[in-house]
Parts: sequence; C-alpha cells; structure tokens
Amino acid sequence: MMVTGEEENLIVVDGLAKQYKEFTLHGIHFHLPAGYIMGMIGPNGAGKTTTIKALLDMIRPDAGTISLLGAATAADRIALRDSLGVQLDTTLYPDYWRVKQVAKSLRSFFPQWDDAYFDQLCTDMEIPLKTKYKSMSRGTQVKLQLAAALAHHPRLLILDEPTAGLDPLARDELLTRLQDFIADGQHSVLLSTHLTGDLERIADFLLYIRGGRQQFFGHVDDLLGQYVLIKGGLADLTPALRAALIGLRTHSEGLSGLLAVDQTVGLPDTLLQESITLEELMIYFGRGPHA
Amino acid sequence: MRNAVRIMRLDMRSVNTRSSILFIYLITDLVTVALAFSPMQKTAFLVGFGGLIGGSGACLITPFIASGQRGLDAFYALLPVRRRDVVNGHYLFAVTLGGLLLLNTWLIVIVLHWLRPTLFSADLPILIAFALVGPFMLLLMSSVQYPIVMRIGYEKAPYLIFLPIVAAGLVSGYIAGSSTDLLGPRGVFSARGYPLLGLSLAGGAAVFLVSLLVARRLYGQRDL
Repeated sequence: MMVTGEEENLIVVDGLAKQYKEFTLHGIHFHLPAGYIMGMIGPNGAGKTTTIKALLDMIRPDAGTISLLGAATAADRIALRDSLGVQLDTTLYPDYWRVKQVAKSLRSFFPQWDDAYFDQLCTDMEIPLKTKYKSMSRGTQVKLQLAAALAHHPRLLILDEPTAGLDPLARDELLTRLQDFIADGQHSVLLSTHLTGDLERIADFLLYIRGGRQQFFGHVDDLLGQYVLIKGGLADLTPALRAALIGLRTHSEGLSGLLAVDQTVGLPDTLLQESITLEELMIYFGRGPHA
Repeated sequence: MRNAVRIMRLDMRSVNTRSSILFIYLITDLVTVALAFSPMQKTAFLVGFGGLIGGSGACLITPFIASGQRGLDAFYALLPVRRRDVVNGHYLFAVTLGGLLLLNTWLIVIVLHWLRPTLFSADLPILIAFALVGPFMLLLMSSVQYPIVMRIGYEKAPYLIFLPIVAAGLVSGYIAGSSTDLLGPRGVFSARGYPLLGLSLAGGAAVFLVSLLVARRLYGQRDL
C-alpha cells in the first residue's frame, strides 16, 4: 500500500524523549496513517513500552509532541479514549475478576461499548467465562484484554506484545483479525512485538528502536531493501568490509553480517549476498553497531 | 463527578472491597453484641468501635494494594477519565467507607440499645454523636495515606502507609481509656465541648480537602 500526503494520520510523534536514571529514550519520530498496521520492534529494554506509555499519557515526556487521533494535548487524548483500544504487556485486571466483571466495569466508561460484540469476541477467542483472571493463562489474559480493547469499536488499536503467550492458531487468528480491522482504511494498529515473523506478515510500517534510539522508521519493504546479508570466507574479510558490516559474525567456515545495499558495489564475487528477514535484521543489529 | 463515582465503584470492585467490608462489619457487629452480654457490658461498644475503625482502615488501602500488585493504575490510565477524576474517585471511596462505618456504628448502638435498654440509658445520644469519630478518623487516615500512595505507589512504601492505621489504633485506645472524661458530662460530647467538636470537624474537613488537592497534583505528575 502506498501512503499519500492526503491520508489522515492517527498517530504523529515528533522528537519524543524521556529520561530515566538508567535509560533514555531519544528523539523518536514516526506517523501512522489510517488504514495501516505499524510494528514496533527492538530488543528488550529498547524503549518500545516507554514509547507506548508516552502515547497513552502514562508518562510525561521530557521533550517532543504527540498527536493521537488528532488530539495534541493530554486532556484531549484522554477525552478520545473511547476511540482507542489498548492491550498492555502486563496483568491489567484485578485477580478475582471474571469476564463478567470486566464487561460490567468497562461498560460504564465507554459509550460505544458493545456487549454483544464483546460476548462474540470472548466466544471466538475461547475465553473461559467462569475462570478468574489470575487463574487464566498468560495467553488467555492477553485475549481478554484484546476482547475488551475491541469491544468499544475503537478506531486505533495500540497493542504491546499481543502475540505473547498465544499458541500458533490463536496468533494466526489474531493477525487475521487485525488485518480485517484495518480493511476499511479508517482504522489502524500499532503493535509492539518480538515475533518478527508476525510483523512480516501484516505490518506495513516498521519502527525499529534499539537502546532508546530510533534506528529506522518506514515501510517494511524499504527497511528490508536497505540491507543484504553477506556471507563468505574469512579471506574476504578486508578491514574496510569489517568496518562496514553490521553484526559481523566469524566462525571457522567463514563470516556473515549485514551490509547496507549502497555499500555492496565492488564486493568480490566470492561473497554471497542474500535478502534479509526482519529477524535477521534484529539479530545482526543487536550484535553490532549500526553503521 | 460522574467519572469520580465510576472510579469509586471500580475501587469497590477492584479487590471485592464491598464484600470484605460487609464481612468485617458483620463479624464485628456479632462480636460486639456478644460482648455486650458478657461482663464487659458497656465497654463492648468501644471494643467493637475500635474493630470497625481498624477494619475500615484496612479496607481504605486495599484498592492501592491491588493497584501495586496488578497494575490497576495502568488500567485506570486506559479509561476515558482524567487523572484528577481517578484521585477524586479514590477520595470518594474513602468518604463512602466513612459513611458505611457511620451507618454501621449507629446500627450497633441502636441494636444494643434495643437488646439491652439499660446498657447505655442516658448516654445513648452521646454515643450516637460519638459514632462520628469513626469516619472522622478514617478520613484523616486517608488524608495522610492517599497522597503518599498516589505519589509513590503502595509497593514502595507499605509500612509508611500503615502508620496512620497504627496511629488511629493508639488514638482509639486513648479515647477508650479516657472515655469517662471524653464522653462524660465534661467531655467533648457535651454542651461545653461542642465548640471543640465543631472545630475538630472543620479542621478535619480542611485537612481532607488539602490532602485531595495535594494528591491530585502528585498523581498528575506521576509516571505510571
């Protein structure tokens, strides 16, 4: 899908920064147009959850601006919560609540809450109605949060590790549901996940954060098209190549590492160039500095 | 105000406080009635009264214990309510608990008077007025506890938060020990003591209001 300048952005983040004692998020900037899914990837502690918390006004950024569904102030964003569905990577509800209590508690807060839809979602996701929240598996807790996030017909979904704890079938169903969610071009999804395979399947845009710094924002294909995986023998490892390779790995049989496409000119034919996957990108970037 | 009421209801539901408080009151009421037929007689009321304040004080903090354990602050943050509404809701929860405590204390007094009319005799109006001490102490406890817990959360200062309950217990003990002076003809629940009583209530209300404003500010600045 192509993005034009006419499309409405449901999220616009510019220069977002937050400093903690042992971690700093530096100048994050991205936008998410209506009708798209954006994935946020990065190793543990990269700043993904901090970014999500800033979007939800759970933390106060030290710098930067956030526009969510067109609302630029915290008060306006909170007023628009009915149009926002959120699933967090934490246990969210009190221990002894069951599905019924979740619906009863949320119904009064969300004018668009749809009991029939919530019931349908719980049935579809096979969420046990009589089980206490604390007794649910991690995957089922996530499913319950997802059902609650969707049940008030939001325009924008923000999901933090939604596929964590889900079995392959449930994960597949969730990804299909998210694709259906954005199908009309008016809805969007921002999701943070470690499972890059999921993102390759459904994400249009990608935000890659590492060590609190944004490494990339753009279309998934653009990111994957920027690098190639280089494989070859140790004899090919010149000082220039060593400096250029990202996440260089050497072993008895040779070397491998990522290289920016624009640096592949003039490489010897003995070196193999392969297209990369998101997972390889994360692994190699995780090993070495970004050139 | 509507959002504050909704948050207050969530507080009630968050750790099943509604059932807990009813259970505590029921048990305390039964023990108090039983003690009234023991040699303790009139003193049974003061014992029961202390139990009610302690039980209510424990319930006062339960939403925050749940919050520390289960991330309820994050849950509240996802709702279409401002942070000040969340704080207002918590304080309304404290006021509601105070109201329940008052009603239950009056219920005990009336039931004891009905069962044993000679027990309180002329002191009945004084005890009806004395019941106000319960919610008064409860709201003072919340005035100290809530700003602390709003700023740093229960999990970081559990013992600090229970200090007001300990203080309330000490004050209750003092009142019980000095009941003749405090409750008798020369005490605060007499014509002579009414100005002091009024002043105390006004001071307590002021402390509660200031606490609410401070808590709003602290919670507004907190990273969840």
